Amino acid sequence: MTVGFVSLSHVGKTYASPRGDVVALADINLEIEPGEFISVLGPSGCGKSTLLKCIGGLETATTGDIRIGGSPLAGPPRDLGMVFQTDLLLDWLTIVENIMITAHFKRLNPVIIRKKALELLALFGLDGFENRHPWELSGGMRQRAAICRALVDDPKLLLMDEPFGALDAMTRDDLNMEMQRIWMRSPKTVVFVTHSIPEAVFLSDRVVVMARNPGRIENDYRIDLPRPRSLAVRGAAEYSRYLTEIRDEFARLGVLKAE
Amino acid sequence: MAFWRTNERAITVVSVLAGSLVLWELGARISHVPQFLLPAPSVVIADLFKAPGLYAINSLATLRVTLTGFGLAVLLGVLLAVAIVHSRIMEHSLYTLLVALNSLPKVALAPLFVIWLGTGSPSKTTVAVTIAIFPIVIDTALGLRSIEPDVMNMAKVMRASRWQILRRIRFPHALPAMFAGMKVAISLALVGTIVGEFVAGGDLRHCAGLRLHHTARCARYSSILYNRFSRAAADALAPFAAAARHSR
Ligand SMILES: Nc1ncnc2c1ncn2[C@@H]1O[C@H](COP(=O)(O)OP(=O)(O)O)[C@@H](O)[C@H]1O
Ligand SMILES: [Mg+2]
Repeated sequence: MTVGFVSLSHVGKTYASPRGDVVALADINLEIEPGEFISVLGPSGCGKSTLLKCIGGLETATTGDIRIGGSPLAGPPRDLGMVFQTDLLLDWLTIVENIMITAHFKRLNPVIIRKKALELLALFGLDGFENRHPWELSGGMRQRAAICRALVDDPKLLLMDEPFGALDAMTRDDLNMEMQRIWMRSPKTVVFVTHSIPEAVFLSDRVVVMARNPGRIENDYRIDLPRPRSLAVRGAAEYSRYLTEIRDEFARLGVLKAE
Repeated sequence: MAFWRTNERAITVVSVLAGSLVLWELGARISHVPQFLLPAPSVVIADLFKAPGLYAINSLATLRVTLTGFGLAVLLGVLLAVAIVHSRIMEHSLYTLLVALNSLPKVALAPLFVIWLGTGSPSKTTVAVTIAIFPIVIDTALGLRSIEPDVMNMAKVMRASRWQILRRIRFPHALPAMFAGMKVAISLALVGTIVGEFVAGGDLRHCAGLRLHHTARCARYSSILYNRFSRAAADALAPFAAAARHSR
């Protein structure tokens, strides 16, 4: 087995809580290739966020070993971008200032980053909104801005924790298309957490299925659909086959009721 | 109509103040309460104009101490809040100490400050600071601390230092809470100053508090009411001053 850009071996995470220990992750083994778009799919509470936080260096794994680009993890690695379920835009800053916060915190050249920020905003259809404040934007636009903030210094690894979970179905479709477009334009390793099977299949090269108690990886699907995928791919027999297969797996795990 | 909409709040405040003055005046005139117990506002104002310079000098001295005390309370209070938020040890020691101190009646400490610092403005300023600092520390610490955990995670992913997080996230986030604390603190600073003046006396000619004390003895209630009144006016204006500063 090849060692990937992101490599987890026997990773476990136990939270100490007043009501006893919670085993959030148990024996996770995962190799992620450079430039791969991988989705982590699972019911809530199965440890998806914990897994992402461990890879991002925000939580330390209780057991096992996490390596990124071959080096062991000690805190958030360089070249990491992260998108959360809520946009986390700071209300007192304009959209472009919110994106520039990446430059301030990472001590990057503000002139270069500003140029990059404006380019990205245009790419996400937000040109003209750079000097607006977050509250003037819709939920979808805000989350687009949050993605721009994570992408502005061109990270090698992008971690996304249910980034479209709070959006309506149409905005979600839009953002799925834009996400694919951005990723194809400058491929980077993406770990994308979601609980939507169609979203995972549509976006990913690979879908990892997790189950809970304890949080573990149950299955790993390679999605061989040609890119670029249009929304019409959802009518394709291939696509439906993946959906059925993954749905059946969840039924087997007792997460979904079998018909 | 447009004038009403843009100035709604100011109009309401002015009419409530004016209305209560009118009611007071009418009440004082119609009822047969002796004037030394409840003088009408017109009497108070007339009294004020008998010696305007005297009251002006006294008020100015009080105002100076109040503002100095308030300024020091803001400065020290914000520094303490930052220390409390950034260090577990500071939180346990300073915070506990502050809460304990706050439960003391600071009025009772005033004579002590006079013994330590004399009867000049330092002792009065100190009383003002000790009373005004508490809401500033509490509100600022609350504002600095109440950052969404994922915002902190985002900052960590961007490898922000504690100083950067303080400057670019915690501090701007805490501003509204700080203003709320300052709104309370400005009137407490005035209370502290007057209490200091009651106790310290000292600089005989220049303080509203002493004038209050002195005239009270002489049963010049109209003068007292002027003093009360300027206090109430300061209270009524404080929210506007804070709001004006806050709305950029
Ligand atoms: N900071 C924490 N302290 C204690 N338990 C936690 C903490 N974070 C998560 N957990 C627990 O770990 C498990 C996995 O949580 P999480 O990773 O958030 O799952 P998911 O993102 O898949 O919904 C849950 O049972 C949750 O209650
Ligand atoms: Mg989660």
